[in-house]
Amino acid sequence: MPSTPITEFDGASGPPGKVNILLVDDQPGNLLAHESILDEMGENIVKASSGREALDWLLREDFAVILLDVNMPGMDGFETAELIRGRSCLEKTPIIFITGYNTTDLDRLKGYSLGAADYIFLPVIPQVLNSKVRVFVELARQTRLIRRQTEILARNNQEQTRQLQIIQKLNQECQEANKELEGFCHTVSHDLRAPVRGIVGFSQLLVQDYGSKLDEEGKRLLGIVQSESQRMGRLVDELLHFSHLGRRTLRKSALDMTAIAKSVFEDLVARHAGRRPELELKPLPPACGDATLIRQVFINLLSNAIKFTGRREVARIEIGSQSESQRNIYYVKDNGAGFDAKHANKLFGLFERLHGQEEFEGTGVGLALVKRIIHRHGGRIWAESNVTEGTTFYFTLQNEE
Amino acid sequence: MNAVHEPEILLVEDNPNDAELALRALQKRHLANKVFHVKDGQEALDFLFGTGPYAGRDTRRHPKLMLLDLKLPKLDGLEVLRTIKADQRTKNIPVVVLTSSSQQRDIVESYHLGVNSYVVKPMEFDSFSAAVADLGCYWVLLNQAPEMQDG
Repeated sequence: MPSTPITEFDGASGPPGKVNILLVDDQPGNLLAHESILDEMGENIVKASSGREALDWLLREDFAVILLDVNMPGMDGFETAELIRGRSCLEKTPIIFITGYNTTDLDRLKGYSLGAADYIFLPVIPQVLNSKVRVFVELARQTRLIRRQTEILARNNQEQTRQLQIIQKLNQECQEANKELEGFCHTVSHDLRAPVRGIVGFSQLLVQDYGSKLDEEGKRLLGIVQSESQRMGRLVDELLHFSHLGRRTLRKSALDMTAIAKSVFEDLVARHAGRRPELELKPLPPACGDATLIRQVFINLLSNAIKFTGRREVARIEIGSQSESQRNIYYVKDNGAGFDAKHANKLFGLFERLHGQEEFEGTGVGLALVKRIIHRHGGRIWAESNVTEGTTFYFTLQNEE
Repeated sequence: MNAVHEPEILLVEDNPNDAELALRALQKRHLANKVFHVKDGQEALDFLFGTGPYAGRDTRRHPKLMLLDLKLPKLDGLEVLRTIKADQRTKNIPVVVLTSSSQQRDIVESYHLGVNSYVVKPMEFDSFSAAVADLGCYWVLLNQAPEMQDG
């Protein structure tokens, strides 16, 4: 019979992996004989010469099976069985009665009513004893294995629950910190507006009311105060915009990307009087996203493209896409002033700029917002660029919910 | 300007600079002498209900427009709005919230409380001036308010 390796042993009197077999007989000769028959099984055999001694053992150890002699002086086998069955922890331990005389049907019934698993008659036939005991030994081994696996499962379960709790706690902390940070961002940008409005407004009043009293240098300096405070105003407004759009709940629907790109481009061109880059708009597959936010993505990418092609003789912008199974890759390509690939990591950082204020104006919020919007949609964004040929921005969006 | 006790515009604004910019904008449309400026929410309520320092004021005369900031000391703008819109005597006064806050929950709450209009203060001085002046003209000169009921 194949035996399952057991590494854990809960009996004190035997080596690990073995199960206990209890032999109960008042005659030492019988005990010895039965022991020698069962010895080849390699299990741990315990001998008791009376019912009382058997009970002592049973209370200390787990046994796979009890071989119980019916005919013993004092407490006989049936009485012993009754006492054994009286213990709730022992009520399932199998008992094989061994009896010498011709057992009547009545005795046999009595044995079975006491929970006997089987009977063996003297003289014992070694093969019969062996095969009957082996069944219970195997049963005990399997039971022990199941118990052990149940324990391991329970422990794993406990560990998983504990880890889940840790993850949930960290997640909650992270969400709270995020919320706090966004609230902070909002408050800062919000509270900064009032003083900025003051500086912008009052410097304008100064120009209006006292401009005639200032000389050229005075006017120049005041002009710097005005343009710088206006720039700060734009920064604060964009930061506020960033925090707003970043927190907005996504309202996804199927988007006609071609129509969005086209209408954004026309709006932007209308605002840049006299500048109209050549646009090649290839048909774009629809995407699933938040219309307002995806429109914002096109606004930011296309106004960048228009801005950075400002110094090209022929400004060209191309919008196109590649479809994959689950998602689409969209791109906006320009032939404008590109950037050096080694600065690419800074491209999407908040307030990061790759061009000087005098070269191209900007606040460094636009691409950070684009990245945030695309990430919130579960997409990716990246750019390829070189200084001579211009820049291509790629972003991915799911094509359905 | 604050000599008028029967103003057509009640400006509730704690920031003196914003108040001055608003008054200047109204001045250009010759509305500044019709403005009464209070600096916090409690003073606004005292003025409208003739309590505290305004005890004895004829409260049957209501302003044609109340320009209300939300972030105010003592009693904030939303509380002021809640109080006057819940009171039979003052609920018909047109209230325009003029604030730096573009937060949805402020906007939603203001409308819920019965605000007549909600305007986010533009950052640019020209836009700010234009917004305040347009509001003043619209509510004081164009808008027709219901006749006052005596008693």
